[in-house]
Amino acid sequence: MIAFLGKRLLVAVGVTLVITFLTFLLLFVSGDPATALAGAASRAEDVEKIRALYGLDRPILVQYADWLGNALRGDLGQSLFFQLPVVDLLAGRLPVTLTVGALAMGLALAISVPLGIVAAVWRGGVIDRLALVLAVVGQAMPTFWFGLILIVVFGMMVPILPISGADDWRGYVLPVIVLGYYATPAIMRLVRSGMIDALQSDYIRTARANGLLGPTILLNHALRNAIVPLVSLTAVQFGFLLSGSIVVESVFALNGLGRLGWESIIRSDLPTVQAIILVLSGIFILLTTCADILTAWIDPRARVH
Amino acid sequence: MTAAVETSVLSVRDLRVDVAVPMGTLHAVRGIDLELARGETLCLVGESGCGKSLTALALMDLLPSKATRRASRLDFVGEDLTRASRRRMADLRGAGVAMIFQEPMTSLNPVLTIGAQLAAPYIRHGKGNRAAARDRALELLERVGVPGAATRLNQYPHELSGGLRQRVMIAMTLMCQPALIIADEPTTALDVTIQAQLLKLLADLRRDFDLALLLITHDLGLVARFADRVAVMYAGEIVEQAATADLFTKPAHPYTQALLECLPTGDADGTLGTIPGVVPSLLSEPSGCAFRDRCRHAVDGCGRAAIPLTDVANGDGVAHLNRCLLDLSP
Repeated sequence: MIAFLGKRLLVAVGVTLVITFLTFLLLFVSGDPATALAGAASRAEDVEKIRALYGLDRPILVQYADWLGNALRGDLGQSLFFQLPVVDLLAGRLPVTLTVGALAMGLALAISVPLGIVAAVWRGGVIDRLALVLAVVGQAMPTFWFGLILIVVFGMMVPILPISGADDWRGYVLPVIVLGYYATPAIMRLVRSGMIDALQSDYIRTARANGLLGPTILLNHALRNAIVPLVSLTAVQFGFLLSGSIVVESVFALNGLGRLGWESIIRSDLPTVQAIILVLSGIFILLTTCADILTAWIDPRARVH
Repeated sequence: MTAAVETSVLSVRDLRVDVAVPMGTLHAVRGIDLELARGETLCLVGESGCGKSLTALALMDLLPSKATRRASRLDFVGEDLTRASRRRMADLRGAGVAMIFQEPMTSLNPVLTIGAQLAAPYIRHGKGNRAAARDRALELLERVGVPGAATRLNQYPHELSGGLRQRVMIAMTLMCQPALIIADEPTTALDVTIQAQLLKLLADLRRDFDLALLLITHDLGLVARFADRVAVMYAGEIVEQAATADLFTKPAHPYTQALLECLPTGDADGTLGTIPGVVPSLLSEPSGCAFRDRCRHAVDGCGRAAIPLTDVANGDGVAHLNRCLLDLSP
C-alpha cells in the first residue's frame, strides 16, 4: 500500500508539471504577447522594450521556471482587466463554485446510489423503469435548458426561489439541482450495473449459503464490489461539475470561477484564464489521485499496479 | 433400524425441481429420494445437466428464481423443511447445513479479507463475537492445512492459490459445526494433484467432525472412491444406488456400466469407452426409462411405463437399488 501511494503521488506530480507547462504556453497561443501588450499600432522599438521589460526575450523554459516559481509562491500574476492580483480574484470566486459543485455532487450521490441499488435488486420493476427514464432525460437535456425551465417554473410561475445571484443559501438551490441532475444518470447506471453483476456473482451465492441476510449481503458484500468503479467516476464527474459550472453560473448569474473564466476569455485576460485552468486542473488531479487511493483501499486488487 | 433413524441427518422423498425456460417447463429433477446419516458420505454422480447441482441447491433453498422445488418429505435432523419459512432456511444455511462450491476462484468475495469472510457465518449465527470468530477461523485454517494461517486471515482471496481458496471454503463450512456439508464438484476446478489431497481432507473432516457429507461430482473414478455409498443420476432421477464397492464390482444399471467402461483402465492399448447419443430433453417427462435411446440392451417394454427403483441386493445389508427392467448384473 505504501509503495502504491508513493507511485501514485509521483504520477500526480508528473501530471501537474505537464499541465502547468501547457497552461504556461497559453500565453503564446494568440501570437506574440509583447505585441499584444504594446498594442497593434505601436512601433517596433516599443515592442522590443516591452519584451525586455516583461522578460519575454528570455528562453521559454527560463520564463516557465520563473512563472512556475511565482505560482508556487502564490503569485499568479496580475489580472489585465481588473488590475488586481489574480490570486485575490480567485479567492473570492472559488468558494462559490466549490460550494455549488460539492452540493451538486452530494445531491447526485444521494439520488443515484439508492436508486441504482433499488433498480438492480428489483430489476425490470417500476422503480427500475422510472430510473431509466430519469437517466435518459437527464443525459439528453442540456444543463442550460434545464436551468431555464427551472427559472421559468420556480422564478416566474411559482416564484419561491431566487433565479440569479447567491446572496443567501436559497440562491444555491436551483444551480445545485441542475448540476446534480446532470451528474446523476451516469452514476446511477453504474451503480445499477455494478450491483447486478455483484448480485449474480458466486461470492454472493456463498454469502447466501452462509445464511447471511438480505441487507448484509446487499451492503457488505455486493455494494462494496459495486462501488469500486463508482469512486473513479465520481471524481471525474466532480471535475466535470466544476469545469461545467461555467454554463450554470452564467444561467443563474452566480459569481463563481466558471463565470469569471468565461468573461476572462472574452476579455483576453490571459493571466486570469491561466490561473483558472491551473486551479481547476489542480483540483482535478487532486480528486483523481484521492479516488485512486480510495479505490485501492476498497479493492485490494487495485494495489497491485 | 432405530439407530439409523436417530442419526438421520437428511431424509428426502420425491424431490422435484422444475425450471421455467422460454420453451416451457424443464423437469430437471424428477423425484429423488436420499437418506444420509451422521458420519456418512453419499456421492451423487452424473454427467452435466443431470440435475445433481440443482438437487444440491434445492436442499439449500438456494435455487435460482426461475426454479421451484417440491418434495413430499424433506427432513433435516428431524425437522420438516417442506414447511420451513425462508427465514428458517436462512437460519439453517451455514449453521446446520453448509455448502462448498465448484469455483474457488470466484466463490470468495474479492474485497473482503479471508478472516472477515470466515467470521461472517459465525457472527451471523450468533456463535460468538469477532474475537471468538477469529480464534475459530485460525483453528480451522490450520486444521484444513492452510500454511501461515495467522497471516492468511488478513489476506485477500487474490493472494491465495485455487487449492488454498478451496481449503478456505472448506474451513468456512466448518465454522458453525454443521451436521451436513454439501460439496458440489469441490475439486473439479483444481489440479489433479490437489484433487486427491482435498478429497482425503474432506474424508478426514467428515470423520473428525462426525459430519454427513453429500459429495456431488461427475467423476466416478476419483471422487466416488471416497464415498460410503454412491447414487448415480441420469436425466433428473437416480438410476442406481449402492454401497461404493458394490457399485464398482457389480454395476446393475446399463448407464452405470457404460460410465464405468468410460473410465481409463491404464491398459497400454485400451481405448476409452464412450456413450453414444445425447441426454433426452426434459421439457416433457420421458415415459419409462430415460436412458433407453442410448442403451444397447433396450427392449420394447423400456418405454412403456415408469420403472421403479428396486432392491437387487442379495439381502446382505446395504440395499442395492436399480432402476431397470432387465437383470444385467455381471
